[in-house]
Amino acid sequence: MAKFEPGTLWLVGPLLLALLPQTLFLPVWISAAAALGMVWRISPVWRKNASSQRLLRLVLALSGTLGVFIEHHTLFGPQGGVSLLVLMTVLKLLESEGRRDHLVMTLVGYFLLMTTFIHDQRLLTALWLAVAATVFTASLVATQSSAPLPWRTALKLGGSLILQALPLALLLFVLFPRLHSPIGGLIQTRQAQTGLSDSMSPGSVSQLIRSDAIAFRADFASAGIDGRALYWRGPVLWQYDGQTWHRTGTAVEKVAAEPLGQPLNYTITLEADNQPWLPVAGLATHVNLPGAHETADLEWLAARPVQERQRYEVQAWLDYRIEPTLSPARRALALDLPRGFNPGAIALGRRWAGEGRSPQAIAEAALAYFREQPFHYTLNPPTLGANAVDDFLFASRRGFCEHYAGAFTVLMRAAGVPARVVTGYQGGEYNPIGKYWIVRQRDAHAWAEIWLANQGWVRVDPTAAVAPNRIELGIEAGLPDTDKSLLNLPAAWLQPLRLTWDFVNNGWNQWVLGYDFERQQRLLNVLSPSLTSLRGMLWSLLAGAAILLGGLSLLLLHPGQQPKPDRPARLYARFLHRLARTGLHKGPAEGPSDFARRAIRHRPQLAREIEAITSLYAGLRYGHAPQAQLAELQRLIRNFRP
Amino acid sequence: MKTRRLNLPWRPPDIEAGPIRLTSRRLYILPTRIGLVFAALLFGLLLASSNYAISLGYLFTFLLASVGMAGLFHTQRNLLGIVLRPLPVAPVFAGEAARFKLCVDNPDTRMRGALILKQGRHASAEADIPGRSSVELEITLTQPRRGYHHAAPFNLASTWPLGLFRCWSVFALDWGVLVYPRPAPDPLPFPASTGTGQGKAREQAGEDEFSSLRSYRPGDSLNRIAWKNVARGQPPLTKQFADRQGETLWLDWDAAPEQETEARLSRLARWVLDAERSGQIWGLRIPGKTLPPGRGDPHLKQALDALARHGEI
Amino acid sequence: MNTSITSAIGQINHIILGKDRQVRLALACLLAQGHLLIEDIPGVGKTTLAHALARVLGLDYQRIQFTSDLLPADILGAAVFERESGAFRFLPGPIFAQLILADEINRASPKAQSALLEAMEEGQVSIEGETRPLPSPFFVIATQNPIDQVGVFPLPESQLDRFMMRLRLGYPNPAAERDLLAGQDRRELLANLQPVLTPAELAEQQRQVRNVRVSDALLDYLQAIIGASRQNASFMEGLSPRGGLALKHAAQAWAYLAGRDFAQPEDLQVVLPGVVSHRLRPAPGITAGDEAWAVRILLQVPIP
Repeated sequence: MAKFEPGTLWLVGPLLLALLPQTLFLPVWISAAAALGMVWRISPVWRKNASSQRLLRLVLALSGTLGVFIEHHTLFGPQGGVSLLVLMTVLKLLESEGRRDHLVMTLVGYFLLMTTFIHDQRLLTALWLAVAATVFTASLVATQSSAPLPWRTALKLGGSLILQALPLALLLFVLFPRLHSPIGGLIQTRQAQTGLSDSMSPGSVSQLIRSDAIAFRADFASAGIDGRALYWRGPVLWQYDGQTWHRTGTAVEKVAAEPLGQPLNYTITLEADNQPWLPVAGLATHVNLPGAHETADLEWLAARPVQERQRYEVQAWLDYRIEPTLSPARRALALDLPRGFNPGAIALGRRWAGEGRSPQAIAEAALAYFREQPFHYTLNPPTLGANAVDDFLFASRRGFCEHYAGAFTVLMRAAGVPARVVTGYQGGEYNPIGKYWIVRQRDAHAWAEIWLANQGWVRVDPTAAVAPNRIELGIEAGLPDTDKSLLNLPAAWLQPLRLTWDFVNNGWNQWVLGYDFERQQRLLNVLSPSLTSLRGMLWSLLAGAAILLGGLSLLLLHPGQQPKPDRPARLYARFLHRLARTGLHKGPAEGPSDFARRAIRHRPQLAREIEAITSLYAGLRYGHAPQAQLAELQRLIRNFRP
Repeated sequence: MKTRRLNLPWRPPDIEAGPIRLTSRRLYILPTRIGLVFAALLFGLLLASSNYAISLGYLFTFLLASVGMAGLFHTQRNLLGIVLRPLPVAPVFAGEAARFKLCVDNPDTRMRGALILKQGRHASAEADIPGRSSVELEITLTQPRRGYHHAAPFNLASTWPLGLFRCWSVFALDWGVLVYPRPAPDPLPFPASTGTGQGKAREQAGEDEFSSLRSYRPGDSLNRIAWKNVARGQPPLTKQFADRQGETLWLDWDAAPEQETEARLSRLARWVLDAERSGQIWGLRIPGKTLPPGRGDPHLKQALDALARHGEI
Repeated sequence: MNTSITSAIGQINHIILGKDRQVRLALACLLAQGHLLIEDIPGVGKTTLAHALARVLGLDYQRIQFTSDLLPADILGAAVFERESGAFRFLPGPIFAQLILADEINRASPKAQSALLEAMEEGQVSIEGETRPLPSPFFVIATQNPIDQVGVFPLPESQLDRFMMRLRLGYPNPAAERDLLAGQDRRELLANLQPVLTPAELAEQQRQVRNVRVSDALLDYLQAIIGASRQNASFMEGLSPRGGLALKHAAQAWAYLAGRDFAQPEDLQVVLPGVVSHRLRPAPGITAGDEAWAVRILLQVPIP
C-alpha cells in the first residue's frame, strides 16, 4: 500500500529549502533534475518499486556525472563540485529510507547549505539558509524519536537547539583566529554590476544613472560632512576621438601635489562592479587597500577589477593644488582635439581666445553660454550626429552631464585652455540610522577640470550652470519631472524602510561578510589589546566557550520542571521549614495531621498554632475551604516563629 | 555507610535494588559514528571557509558545531532524572524466553525520546516517553537452565535528539527470573499411591461425571432434573454427578523413573502440570521439601517454585 | 458527624471489645458500598461482628455456612417443584438479604464461591435465565480461616479483588479479654442491640460518603501509591484499577466517619492495609516476610 508518510516530507522539505537559493547558480537541467527527483520521492510510485530502481539509479548517477563534466569541464571546485553534489544528493534521496539515511542526508544538506555561500552571501539568503538549517535540525529530531513527532514539536526543538547554539557560534565567529590574507580568487562571483567605465560617450553615464544599485558607502570619521558636496573621482579622460572620451594611455611620473587645509578621514565600502576604480574624494594621501595605487590624475585603482566588496580607509584633503606646472607633453595632450570634428565649437572657442580673455574668463564665458542659452538637463537627449558637440551646443541643447562636461572640455581646448573630463560620482543619500552616505550608480556624474597656471587643475562643473539643483540636491532634483520615471526612484514613503534596510545590509556586509583578519584585529583591539594575539584569542575563546557551555548545561541539565506546587502547599512547606529548624522534620510519607500530632507532642507550647495551621492547610489543600482562608493561612504562617 | 565510588563504564556495576534514578554521575556520553562524521564534516567546512575566505561559512560552521554541542547536552538531558523500576519477571520454563520489563518513569514535563534497553546483543524496542508518564521497555532473554537467575547488567541508551551523541547508563538491578525445570516431553502415568496419603477413596458430590439418580429435593437446580421422568408423569428425579476425585496423588521424587537430578525434576514438573490439569488433589515430595496435597493455581506455583529451586544453597 | 453512626460504633464496641479500629473499618467498608473479608481463626468474633453490624444498621441478616458440598443453588435459590400446583416456583436463596455472612468461604467448591462472588459483583442474580435484583443495600461479609490447608479452596486472586477490604480481628488485648470473660453473654447483648438507622438512611449515608471530597492533591498521592505498586519488582502485579477505586472509596468513608467532608492523606494510610494487603502478592523470588510487607512498601511513598 503506497502511503504518504510524514517521514518523507521531513526528508524532502529541508532539501527543497536548501536547494532553492542554489537554483540561481546551478545549470537549469540540474535544478530540473533535482525537482524531478524530489517529486518522484514524494510520489507513491516511488514506494511501490523502490527496490527495483537500483540499476536506474546507477545509470542516472553515471549520466549525471557525465553531464556535469560536459557542463563545467570539471567535477570539482565551486561550480562542478556543487553541481555534482546536488545531483548525488537527489540520487541518494531516492534510496533514503531509514533513520541512518536520514542522518546522512541531513549532513549532506548542511554541506549543501554551505555551498550556497560561494555564490551568494546576502543577508536574506543567509536568513533563508538559517531557516533551512533549523528545518534540517528539526527533521533530524523528528526522525530520531521512535514515534514520529508532531512537526510543531520537532520545529520547536530544532529551533531551540539553533537558538541555544547561537551564542557559542557568535563567540567562535568573533574570536576564532582569521587568516591574515585569504588565498581568495578561487571563487568566480556573479557578473558584477556595471560601474564607471574608462571611456565616456554621449549616453554612457545616463545609462548608468538608471541603475538603483549601490556604488559605495562612505562613512566619515567626523560628523557634519555633507557628502553631497563631494566629488568622488573615477576615471579621468583625456583623449577625445570626436565621439568618445578615453583615458590617456601614457603613464606619467607622479606630479606635484600639495594638500591644503585640514585632512578628512573616511571609509569607503565599495560594492563589486568589476571595475578597478576606487572612488575617492579629494587628494588622498593614503588608501589602505592592498594593491591600491594612484595615478598622476588623482585616480585610485585597485590591483584588479573589484569583484568582491572592498573596504578601504582614506585620508584626503578636499583642498589641494595639483600639477602647478604642466609639462609640454601633458599640455599638448590636454589641448588635443580630433581634426575635422565640431568646427562650430572650435570656432567658438577660438573666438573667445581671440578676445584676449584670461583662461578663467573663458571658462566663465562657456558657463554663461550654457546658462543663457536655452539648455535643458535631461536623461532623454536626442541622438546626435557626427559632430556631436556642435549638434549639442547649437542645435539640440538637450543633454546630460556627459554632454555638458564633454562640450565644455572641447570648448576649453579650442580656446587654448588645457582641460580634461573627470567621471565619478556626485551626490548621495544620507542614512541617519547608520550615519553614513550611500552613493548609488544613479549618482554617477561627469565634470571637467581646467588647468590654470600656478593653481593647477581646477574643477569646473558645467552641469551646475544648467541644473544647479543636480549638484546641490542630487539627481532627482536636477531632472525635469518627466524624466524622473526613468530613474527607478523608490516611493517616498518607502524611504525610511529602505534606509533601515540599507543600514542592516551595510552592517551585515561590514561585520559579517567583511569580518576578516583586519576587522577582527581592530574589534579585538577595542575590546582589549591583549586579545589580538593568537594566544589571547585562543584563551579567550576557551574561557568564553567554557562559560557559555556551563550556562547551557545549567539551563538544560537542572532538574526538570516539577509541576509548581499550589499555594497552600508552598505555604505549608514554609511552615515545615520553620519547624525543621527547631529539629522537627516531617517524614516524606507522613500526613499533615499525623505530623501535627507528633509535633504537638514534642512542642506542646505550639499546639494552638500548629493545629490551626494544619487544619487550615488540610482544608485548603484537600477540602472545600474557600480561597479566602488562604490569606489567613498566610498570616498564621508569617507569624509562626517556633 | 557505604562509600560512593565513581561509576566507570568498564567496572561491573554494583547490584542495586531499584528504583534507580539516573543522575549525571551514572551517565556516560560519547559521539556516535555519525557524530564523528559530523565532526569531520565541520572540519572540512572550516577549511573550506578559510580557504575561500567565506566569512559566512565560518559563521555557519560554528553554528553547526554549536548545535552539535547543544545536542550533547540535550542527549544527556534526555536520560537525566529518569527513574528505572524493574518489574517482576514472570517465571518461565527452561528453554523459554523470559520477559524482563523495565518501567522507565519520566518525572518531568518534557518528553524523552528514543530510549532503548540493551543487554549484550539483545535490545528492546525503542520508545519515547511523553512528559510525566512512563513506558515499559521489554527485553526477552532465553533461559536455558532452571533455578533463580540474576539478570546480567543492562544498559539504557539514547541518541536523541540529534543522533550525534550516545548517552547511556549501565546498571545491575537486583532482578532475576525464576526458571522452572523444563517439563519432560513424554507423558508417563502418575506413580501409584504410596499409601501414606489420607486417601480413602471417597465419592464427592460434584459436577463432572454423571453417576446416579436420586429423588428430587427442593433447591436442586432445574438443569439437573431428569425431565424424561417428569414427562412420563413420574416424580422428578435429580441427576447425581460425581467429581473424579480419587485418593490424594503423591508425586514423589523416588517415583520418577529417571535417575539424573535434572531429568527427575523435569519428570516431576511434567507430573505436576498433568496432575493439576486432571483436577485431582495432589501433593509433592522432593528431598528437603514436602508440599501438602492441594490444588489450584497457587498450589501449582508453589510446587514448580520448589522444583525450580531444588538444590539451591 | 452523624450521631447515628457514632452511636452505631459505640454499640458495636460494646459487644466487640477493644476492636474499635476494626469496627470502624468494617463500617467504613459498608458505607463505601464494599464487601468485607475477615480472615482469622475461629472464635475471635467474626460472626458476632457481622451480626452486630446487621443489627445496628437495621439490615436483615443471613448467614450461609460454606461447606464443601454447598451448591450454587444453596446460595442463590432455585426453582422448586410444587406438588399441589404441579409447577415450579422460585424459592429465593439466603443471598436475598441485605447483609450476608458467608462463613468459611474457602471451604466451598470454586463453583459455589463464584456464585456468591458474581452476585456480589453484579448486585443481581441470574437463575434459570431470569435476572433477579439483590436487595439494597447489599453487603457481604465473608470469613475464612487462614490456618486450614487441607481440603480448602483458597479464593483466587481475581475473586479476592472483589472484596474491598480484608481485615483481621486478632486476639483481644488483656483488658478487653477480661471484660469479655467477665461480661455478659455476647448473644444476649446482640439480641438487645437496637437499630440506629433505617435502610433509607443508610443509603443516604452511603451517598454522602461518595460526596466526600477527594482533592487533586490527594488523587496525586493515590496515584503515586498505585504507581508504586505497579512499578515495583517486589510485587507480582500492581493494584488493579478496581483496587485503586476501592482505596479511594474506603478513604472517603473513613474521612466521613471522622466527621470530615474531605479526605486527606492519613485517611488513605489508615485504610491502606485493609484494602491492599489481599490484592498484592510477592513476585517470584521475593520473600514476603509478614503480612504487612506490602503495606510497609506503599507507606513509604512520599505524599506529594
